[in-house]
Amino acid sequence: MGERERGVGAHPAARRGPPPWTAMTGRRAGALASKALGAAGLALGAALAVLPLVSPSPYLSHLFATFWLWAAMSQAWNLVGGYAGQFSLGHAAFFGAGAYAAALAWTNGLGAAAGTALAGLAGAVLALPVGWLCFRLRGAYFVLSTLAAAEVVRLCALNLRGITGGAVGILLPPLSGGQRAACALGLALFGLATLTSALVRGARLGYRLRALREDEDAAEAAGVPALKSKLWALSLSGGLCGLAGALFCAQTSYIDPGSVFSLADVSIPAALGALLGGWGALWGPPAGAGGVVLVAEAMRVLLGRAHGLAYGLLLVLTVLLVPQGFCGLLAARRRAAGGEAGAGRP
Amino acid sequence: MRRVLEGRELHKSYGAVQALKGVSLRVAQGEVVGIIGPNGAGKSTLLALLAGGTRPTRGRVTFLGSDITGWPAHRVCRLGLARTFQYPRPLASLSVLENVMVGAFARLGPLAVRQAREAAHACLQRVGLADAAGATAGELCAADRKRLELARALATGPRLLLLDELMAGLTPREVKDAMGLLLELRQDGLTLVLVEHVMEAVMAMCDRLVVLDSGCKLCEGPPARVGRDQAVIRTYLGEAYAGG
Repeated sequence: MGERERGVGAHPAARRGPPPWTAMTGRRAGALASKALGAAGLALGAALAVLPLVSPSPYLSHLFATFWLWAAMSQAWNLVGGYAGQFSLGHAAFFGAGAYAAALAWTNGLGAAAGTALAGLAGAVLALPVGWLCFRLRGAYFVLSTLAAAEVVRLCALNLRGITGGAVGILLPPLSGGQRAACALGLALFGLATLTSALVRGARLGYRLRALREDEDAAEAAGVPALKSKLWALSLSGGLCGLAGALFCAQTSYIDPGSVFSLADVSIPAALGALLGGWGALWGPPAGAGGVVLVAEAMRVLLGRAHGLAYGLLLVLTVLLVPQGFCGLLAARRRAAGGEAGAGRP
Repeated sequence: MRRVLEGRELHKSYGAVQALKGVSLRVAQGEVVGIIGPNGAGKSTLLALLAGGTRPTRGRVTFLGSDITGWPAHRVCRLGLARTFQYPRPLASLSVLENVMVGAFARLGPLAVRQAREAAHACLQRVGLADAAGATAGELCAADRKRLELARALATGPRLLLLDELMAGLTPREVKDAMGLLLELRQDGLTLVLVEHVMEAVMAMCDRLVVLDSGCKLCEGPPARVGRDQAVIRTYLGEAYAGG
């Protein structure tokens, strides 16, 4: 069924009036199909989540650990970039702050849990001054200011040698439990990020963020405290990025300012996952992150040193051809087919 | 009667342009005040100063006993002063219901989604937009956008509504509906300040008119008297409304 079935109710022109029977059955079939699709997706997701945890292949575990990490980062980015429409290219600041907080905590004898908590806190707290400064600007100026903020934090990490070790970086003992443990932790982090995103989406904050994305002045006039709402979103997002930084730190056992505060390796992938998958939607960012990680990996295997070029071209093409992201595309098609299904609206 | 809103000696300059040159305005509880005047007279500027978010160059604004001069719009809104925009500004990708929920959240806790939905439904019912609750706000027609604008403002639970040309561009039938709705709101105890060009509505509804011209207050009084004022007839009304 699916496409054709749903096609029957393709034009319920009268959105307000009672829909004709064909539209009703079409809509029901569409709802059923989307429910089945959702169940299948859930089963597939569960299988994918468990497989690398039981598989003996460290490569598979590594790949999935990376995927969960970036899926969580994209989910975190989406809180600010998707829901609130504040296109940040500075999320590396929170990621790096978390990584350094964790690394310093662990090398100074704090436990795993305490170090992780500190990492989350570092990201969440750093988001407040960064947001307070950057949210004064709109549009392209905001993007540039977040970029600059991340750069400032990177330069601090590079030059405060007494604390961070500067460009030498910090070496840590490898994670006990290896890649499989990293994968499990990544899955947990992704779960936390998705839960946060779902909760925010359904609560007052989610409505306010989406209102701000559409029209900041109109939202303010309707009682939305713009700065406060955005700071909440950025702080939650920064906290999740901080946790992701801690996980990265544990997974790679080595960090330096160049890697954890990187625009190309941290800020952009976080944004890209959400943009490719469908910004604003709940399941868009992880789907996009999956694409980003897998394509990057495949290109590395297939093309060797030329992978960066091919990867870049592919991204450009995707953004040009599917500007609303894959989940956005699906949602639009569903809306066109089933009238006001409404689900997955960005 | 109790004074709810007062603007004292309000000045506003944009660079070298003086949009408002010392206008004072008082609005009492339950009153319907109309602000009229030719284009560029400073009506929308006055409204912006009263609604918050725009700081006057000089002068003070008080609302319900608080000095709200230069407050951000969301604080003014939560104090009980809501506004609509001259050109409706729907939150385009959100549904009509969600648009109004955003307004309802102004007075609700972070998790009170169900209450917000109910309050929003009630407001949509009130403005006659309940059937379109699930539609995407960006796809509404012009008249419905105005309704949505009003519903979102109402949902914030205001004591006073500032309406910027709510009736502009509506058909005579829709103007009549809108007037009926505003009179109902007034009976519920809402104070209304309207900027309006549709003279039938202004003359019929307002207790008092304030006429602006070139950033100054030209005259003020009950519609019948303002309608006879020679200066007002000359600058704005023309002969059609002379004699009230």
